[in-house]
Amino acid sequence: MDSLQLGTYEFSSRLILGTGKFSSTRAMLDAVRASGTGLVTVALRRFNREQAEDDLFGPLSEIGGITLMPNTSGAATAREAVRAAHISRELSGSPFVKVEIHPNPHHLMPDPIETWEACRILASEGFLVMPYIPADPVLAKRLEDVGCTSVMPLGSAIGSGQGLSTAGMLKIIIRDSSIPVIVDAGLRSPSEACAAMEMGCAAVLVNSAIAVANDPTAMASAFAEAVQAGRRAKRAGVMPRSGTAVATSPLTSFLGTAP
Amino acid sequence: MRYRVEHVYCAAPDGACNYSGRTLMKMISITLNGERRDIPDGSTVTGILALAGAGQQPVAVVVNEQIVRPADRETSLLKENDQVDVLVFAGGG
Repeated sequence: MDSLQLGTYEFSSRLILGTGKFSSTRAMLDAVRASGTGLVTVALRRFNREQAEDDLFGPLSEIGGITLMPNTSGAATAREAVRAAHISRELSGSPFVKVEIHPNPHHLMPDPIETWEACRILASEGFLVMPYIPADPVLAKRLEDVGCTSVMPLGSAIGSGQGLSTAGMLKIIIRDSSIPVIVDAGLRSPSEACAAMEMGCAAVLVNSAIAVANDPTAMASAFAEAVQAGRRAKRAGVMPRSGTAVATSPLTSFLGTAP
Repeated sequence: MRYRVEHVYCAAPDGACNYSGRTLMKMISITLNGERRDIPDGSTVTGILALAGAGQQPVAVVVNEQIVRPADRETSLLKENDQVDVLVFAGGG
């Protein structure tokens, strides 16, 4: 079976789902089911009795077979991210943490220095660390060196829907990495998820493209199929590009031509 | 020190209570999820969760940046100026 291996965990799906931006908890749960995912991200927030429906722990637990990957969104420093990870692990019981440190709300670009420091600490504490990072091959390698379970470079800015604008760098990261590379952020359509998988990504993480679709359930299913298709294509071997035409039909021995 | 008047009534059918009437309850001030709250002195973390409406679901509790595990909440007494955060998982990518 071609499963996604992350630490000691195995997932049959290579689609990881974010749970933000959905119109309702019901819509989110339906999308999670339709996606076939086994790994979803959640965010740590203060409890508000007026918005008790925002608490997703119970509803996600009801689905079964779902592992939580809390993110550290909201953290602007390594210290804050480490603290958020500790609290999240207490609540989730999951060793996964998506390290996400973006101090500037305008572009939401990850801070590579604080991210590296948080990952170093959390990996040494036994977390399965999955950092959201800029598509930087040097940083990706440094994060692998400190024990990250995977690296999750962005395809483009969070929620932008600009697709695989970092494709060139992603290819280098995939080529050089010994750990799974997961594209996180920016994907807009299933075709882009398929392209990421054909490129050699181990998985993709999708949130906005599914959550804001007119029919999130159908879009989750479409992404699931695209990820599967891309993975199968990668394993089957995508043909190389050629600078010139290469005929698929014989060009000789046609009617009325010399033998 | 702040006090609050509490009305205490004897509910036993035979009236076999030690006290019935008014009493002064010593209060302390804490910060709960960013808001100042006056609570009775001697309150536990478990009591505060009930006050916050979070007594039923799984939550994480942090007091002065220290995680308070479920097994310790019943015996964890809060004190003046404690910073208490009650956290859950919301949607996020």
